[in-house]
Amino acid sequence: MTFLHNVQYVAASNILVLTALLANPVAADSLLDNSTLSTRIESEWSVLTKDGSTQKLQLMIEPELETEVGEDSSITTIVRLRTDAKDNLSPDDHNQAELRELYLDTTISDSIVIIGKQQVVWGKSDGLKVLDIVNPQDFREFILDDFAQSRIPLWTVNAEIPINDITLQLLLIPDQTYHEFATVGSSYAFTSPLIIPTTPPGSNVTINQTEEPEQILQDADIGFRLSTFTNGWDITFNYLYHYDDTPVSFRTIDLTASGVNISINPKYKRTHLIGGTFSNTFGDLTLRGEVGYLTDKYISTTDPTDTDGVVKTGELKYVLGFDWYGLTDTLLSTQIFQTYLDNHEKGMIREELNTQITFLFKQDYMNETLHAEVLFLHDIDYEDGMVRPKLTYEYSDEVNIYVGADVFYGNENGLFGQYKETDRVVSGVVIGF
Amino acid sequence: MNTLKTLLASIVLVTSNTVTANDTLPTGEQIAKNINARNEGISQSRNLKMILTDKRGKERIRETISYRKYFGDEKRTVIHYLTPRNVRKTAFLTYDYPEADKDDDQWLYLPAMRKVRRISASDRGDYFLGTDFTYEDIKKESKVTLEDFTRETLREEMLDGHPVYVIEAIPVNNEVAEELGYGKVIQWVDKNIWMTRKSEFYDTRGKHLKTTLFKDIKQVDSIWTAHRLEVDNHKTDHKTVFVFSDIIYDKEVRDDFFTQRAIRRGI
Repeated sequence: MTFLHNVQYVAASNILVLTALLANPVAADSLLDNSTLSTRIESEWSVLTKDGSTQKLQLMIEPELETEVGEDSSITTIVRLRTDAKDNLSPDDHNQAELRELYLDTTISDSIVIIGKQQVVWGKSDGLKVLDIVNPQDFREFILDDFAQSRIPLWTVNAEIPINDITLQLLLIPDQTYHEFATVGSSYAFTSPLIIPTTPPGSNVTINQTEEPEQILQDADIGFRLSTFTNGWDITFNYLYHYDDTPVSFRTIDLTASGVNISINPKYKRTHLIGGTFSNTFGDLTLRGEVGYLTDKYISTTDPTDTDGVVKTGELKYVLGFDWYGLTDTLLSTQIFQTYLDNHEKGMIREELNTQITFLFKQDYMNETLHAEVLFLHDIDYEDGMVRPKLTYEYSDEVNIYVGADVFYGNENGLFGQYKETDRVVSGVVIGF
Repeated sequence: MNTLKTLLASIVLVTSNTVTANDTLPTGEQIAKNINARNEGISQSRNLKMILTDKRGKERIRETISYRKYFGDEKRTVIHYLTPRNVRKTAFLTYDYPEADKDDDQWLYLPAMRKVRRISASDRGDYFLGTDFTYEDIKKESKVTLEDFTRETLREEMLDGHPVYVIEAIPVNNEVAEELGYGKVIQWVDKNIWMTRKSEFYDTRGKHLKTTLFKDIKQVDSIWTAHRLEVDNHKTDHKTVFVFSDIIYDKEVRDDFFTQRAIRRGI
């Protein structure tokens, strides 16, 4: 049997084993000789502070099976099963079952090749994204979910090739999957005019079906990253030619006897992303940063005379972060995050320059069995933000318990302020085995 | 009769040797240099089981595999966590430079974030991932940092049947003391194999902080190696036991094990 046949066999076996495990763990044991099976079970309950109602009562099970194939290869399969008794986050999906990840990880000479459905993580920032846009994101819970949970894995060919002191990463992503937004009426549906174009009162609005790329190879995302470590600096240079994961809302206006007819024609558009990251330590301080420039960003405009309702511009984003480790078992971290539109026109729904800042405090107690953290994000221009305190206790090797809160404040037209009616207290149990 | 003479002569010789040794004990610096000169191989791979016990007796167990390799005088170490599930695939990479004035470089891969995070190596007194060893303890392992302490040899004695020198190490200044979290360290160093068998640590206020025992010391590939480390933290009543197994020295360990992409990928 050839290597590829082995791979196919194991991939198929992985899925079968996971299916079997759900029904009969004993029967699956014999297939696990070269495999490591682990499972993460998370139960989370969130309560809205405004009225004490349950917002979310979710159970999520994620079995992960890793199977060795030969000496230096493995196949990883991760499945996610999720059910929410309240359905406020995704009203149309009471129960969800999905293949999260399925990839072959192998080496060819000195290179690592990972083929399959996977996450590719770029960037150095916490809580905000500049270069971490290789994978789209699930916004059913805004940006409150861990990014590892909310990233949408894509079918990808990912190769990392060492060339002297530099590592070249090559990406080919023929997967046409994009951001998933919270559905209208759900807890975290977007309402901010920074994201949703507004239309004149009394106008007839038609939203047409989103136009998606259809050609697997011609429309594939491609990219590379060069990374190196030199004189104490971690440095990367990143490039991605990709479809922006948010569709552009092209608009046409027809003035008729019956009134104003507005037609929205969402369409995914391609852009180049050029950027890089750096990090170094200076005593107790870690400095890290990332910068990215999108060549073809389309921003909606409220200018009724604009022919298609959007303005094409370049978008520069950067984040500069400082992590301070000066106190025992403590991390104090701050970031400044700015975006700049280099072709800003009056009427665009976003400001030419936008600045956000973050503060993070983390402290460990009791030999790292108790973790406290507070994350604070603030948008300086829109005067809104959120605060996220969280306390996690490792009850045992297998069981973690946590309690926290997600509090939004400020301008209700802002990215964070739009959710100020959804402040919540969250508690949960994570079991891993 | 000859036997009796020989025995008496031996007793006289041993006694005179002890007296001579007491008069001419090696200095603390000499002992520290001998500790550091001890062969520990160019490379090493091993499994490590960490048993962490809190004051109520509740145990947490972590299993890891680690690799260490010298690149000239620069020491690189990587530790991969294998179990339990909530820390599995966590990996820690450190480059320990020979220059005293050059901070080490450290990276931590946290699977929950799927990111390699650069971390400061300057706070050497922080405890390593929930254990009672500090990052500095983990990094130096059976070695010592010459420039951090002034050392005085107190005496020689027997410890569990082994002849040892007892040395007292005091941080060179308050800054180093605060950084390491130690105000004084008493070490029992085996005079035959130059390995520390026991250490008593005192905090910067002079309070007894913790006791470390290096046990089950035996040769692996002709290199003296402790197979069990025990730490009792007297302040918290927390205990850490490290049990090493499958120790292999100087087998080929690939250079690319000590890279960020390797800790991201896992073992």
